[in-house]
Amino acid sequence: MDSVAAVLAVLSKLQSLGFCADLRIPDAAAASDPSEAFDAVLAAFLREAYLGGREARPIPAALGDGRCVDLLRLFLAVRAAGGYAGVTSSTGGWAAAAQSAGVDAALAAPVKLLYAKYFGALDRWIQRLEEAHGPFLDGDRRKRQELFDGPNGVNCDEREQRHVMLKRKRGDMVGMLGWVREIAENAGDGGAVAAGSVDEYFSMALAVRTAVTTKRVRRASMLNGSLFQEIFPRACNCCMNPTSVGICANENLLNGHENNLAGQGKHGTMMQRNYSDGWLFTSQQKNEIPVGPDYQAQVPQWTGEVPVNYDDPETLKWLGTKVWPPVNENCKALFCSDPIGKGREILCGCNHPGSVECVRFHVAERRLKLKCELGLAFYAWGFDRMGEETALSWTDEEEASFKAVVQRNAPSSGRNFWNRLHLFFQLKGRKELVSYYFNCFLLRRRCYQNRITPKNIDSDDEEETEFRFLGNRLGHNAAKYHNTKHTICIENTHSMDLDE
Amino acid sequence: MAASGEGASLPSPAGGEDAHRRRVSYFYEPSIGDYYYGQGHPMKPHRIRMAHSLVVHYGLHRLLELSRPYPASDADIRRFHSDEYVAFLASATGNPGMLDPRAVKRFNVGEDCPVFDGLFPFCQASAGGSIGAAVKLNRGDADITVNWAGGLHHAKKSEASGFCYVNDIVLAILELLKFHRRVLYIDIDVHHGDGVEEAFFTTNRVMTVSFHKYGDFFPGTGHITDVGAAEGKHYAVNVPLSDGIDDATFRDLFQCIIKKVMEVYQPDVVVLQCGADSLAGDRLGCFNLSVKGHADCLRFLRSYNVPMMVLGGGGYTIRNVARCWCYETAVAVGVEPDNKLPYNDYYEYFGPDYTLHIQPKSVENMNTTKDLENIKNMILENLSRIEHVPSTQFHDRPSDPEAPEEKEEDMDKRPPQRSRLWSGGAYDSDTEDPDNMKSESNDLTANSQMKDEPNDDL
Repeated sequence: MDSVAAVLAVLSKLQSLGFCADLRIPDAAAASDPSEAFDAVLAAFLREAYLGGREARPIPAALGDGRCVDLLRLFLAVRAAGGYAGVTSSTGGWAAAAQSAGVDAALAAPVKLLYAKYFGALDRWIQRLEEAHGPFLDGDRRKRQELFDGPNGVNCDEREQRHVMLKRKRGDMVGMLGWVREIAENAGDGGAVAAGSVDEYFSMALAVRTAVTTKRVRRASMLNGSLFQEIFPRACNCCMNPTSVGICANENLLNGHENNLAGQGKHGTMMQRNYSDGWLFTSQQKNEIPVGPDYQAQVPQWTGEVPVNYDDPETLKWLGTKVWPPVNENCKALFCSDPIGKGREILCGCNHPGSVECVRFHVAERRLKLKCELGLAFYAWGFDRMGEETALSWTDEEEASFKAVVQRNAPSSGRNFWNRLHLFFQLKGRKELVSYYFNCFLLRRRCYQNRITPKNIDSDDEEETEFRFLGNRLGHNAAKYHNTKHTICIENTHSMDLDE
Repeated sequence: MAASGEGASLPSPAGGEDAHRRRVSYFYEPSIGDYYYGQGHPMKPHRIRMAHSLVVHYGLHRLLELSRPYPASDADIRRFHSDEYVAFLASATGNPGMLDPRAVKRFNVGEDCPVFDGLFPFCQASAGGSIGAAVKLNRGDADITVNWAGGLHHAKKSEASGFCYVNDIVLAILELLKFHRRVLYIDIDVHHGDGVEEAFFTTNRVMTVSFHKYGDFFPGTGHITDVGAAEGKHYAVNVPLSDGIDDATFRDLFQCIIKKVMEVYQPDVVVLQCGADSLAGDRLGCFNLSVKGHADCLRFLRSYNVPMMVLGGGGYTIRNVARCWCYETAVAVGVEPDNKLPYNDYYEYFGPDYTLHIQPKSVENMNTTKDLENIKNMILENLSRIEHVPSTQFHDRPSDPEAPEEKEEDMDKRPPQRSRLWSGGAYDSDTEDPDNMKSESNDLTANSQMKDEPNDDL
């Protein structure tokens, strides 16, 4: 087994558990002396696992006679032979392990003791991790990468990572809380406390206490639900670096390695329960609202005095520019408008009511009417820049190119079609492109959907890959149809399918 | 009003006076639709332009006073937001390479809140409209003011959040507080109105009431036991709800709680955030309200005859957002528009049914009667604690050496029901009684006609 890979695997695993967050071991350093690198990892882990240094072990590890034991070789040998339990149960198991570690086989008993002291905690942590995710201490980097990248190899899906973290840590939280409860119930019983120290519940309890009493910035993403994230310390591609796998996940959760278990407390608050569990009336699981001058608006005391100079230009500017009603009242009276709130006429004299041509005709008709009624307001509100008229400044070629660029760079392809559009239409500004997109492009896509796929319409999801239109830009040769019976043949003969 | 027989409308607690005309002032920035958060981003300012197009095509503008907002300057925005944050926003460009990564992290821009081209002018227009709406109310120029580009309730003092950068609501409320002793903020966005709640968490001059989805949902705040702190204790109200809440359930809860709120708090002015992501079929939301059910909140508040500001907010199925805000504009002016949409520039967006109203989805309402009862009782109990506050806290004004303008004397002392605001008249209209302006062809009720037609959301 590649010992370098094994060291890095142990480190990454510990880091995914929240330990050794600050430790960096470059591949090269690990390769030059894996044993030394392993000792560094173990030392950092033990320091953190036994907070306060009460049980810190000297490293390098030495037997009673002063002979040093190669911890990495011992660890790997025991690991290969089935772990502590496996070695113990096999006859001469510890003698063989001692030999692998470069020690006389006669010293089986002291080596066994040394293993228990140095690796007991490490084994328990790793076992929990493996219970959740299966073994991955085989130095197989690809597999390890998978754990963090997701089975599809998606680069750094933070959600997935946090999920991985949460699953495990909740279990520990429950254990720790049980331990605290036990102590509370059996105050003065040293046994319970000691058991907790062995299981690291003591240090976890301290860390959780820090977490729940410390106010920290929480951020959730609108798109990803309420999963909170700490401010990212660096770009997520750190996950691609094998020596720091899991650091990204940790640092989302943790403020620093001192309270590297703090994240558990915070995420504990996220555990959502059903109403029936009574979360509604428990307060310990909600998110606190920060209070202080950095958060609240300054609200003056009510004195009963109101501003006296509320007619000053500084105030009046807020009234903005009045567009309606128009100053010239005559223009309103000139046109006999439809009653307020009136919708469209149900009947029309078009040959094919409901067809693209029919709709375009009535929209244009309305537009003309509106132009007369509104006068200057028509332009002030930008009605001259609404709808398909926007396309009048576009040539047929430009429109075809726009469609092609969007189609070729659909979001599903992982590309950004706006970047391409900007490159392609260098003479058109951002506003013009956006305006065309909403006023014409999406409108035509919806026009197609309404007639061909009325059960599957969408104006909002740009991931949508269906980019088909009916007819050309002026509606000529657009599908004429009366009912859905005809849509099949229309689709075949008239639609301009960009897939082609 | 005419719609009251339909069952979707609410009885008027103020009794009778609801039929009176409201002077409604509406802010619209014509360039708003051309701002773009970026590819794949669900927030689309284009929806505001679509709503405006419907409003005008229904002829509602004839009952409105429409203004183009004055853009809020960075100094104006600093009335709430921190200097560093505003400076960052004002200097931010659409080029991510130019941004200081520390600032990106600190101010929470990036994924949800991208720095897009024109970000700051967008914020200026949104905030300018809401502050303008506040000034209109302060001056007594209007009874209801509308700014669909406002309502960006997640923005924090020094941080962007949930597609919001500048909290126009907080800025508008700060302006209202110059003339009004108590401001009631109500939020019916599917997301918790955390930015506004946080900004006024410790004051009793603003009461915030938010109805929202709670539990594994953005932003994670809005627990029922968050009631405010210090002087503001019991002046923050949170109504946490589960998926699939329908019109009837929402209406009962809303009416019951708001009735109590109006009774005990007696606000001088109401700000209503009408986030449309609580509608059925929203791309990010999970409630099941119809446009009518959503607008009933506005209708109910309008009947109290208290000056009111109506703002936008979330809403990510843009055709429904436009429907909703158009209909709510109609409710504000007291018109019941036809269900069949008029032809307009964005007509195809509303196919294949081309109707104003949407039908709720057939999804399960996860809010059980028992849960709702518990929520209601707990909130009513919290509200009743305000009642025990000596009434002098609200009604006793400190002696005022410089007599305020008479107008303000009025505003402060008048009971909410006897508003001087509905005298109307000053505002010319096309018909005598706008509440009967339902056009002849509009005989639809909430249920009958729509059943016969295909609906885009079915």
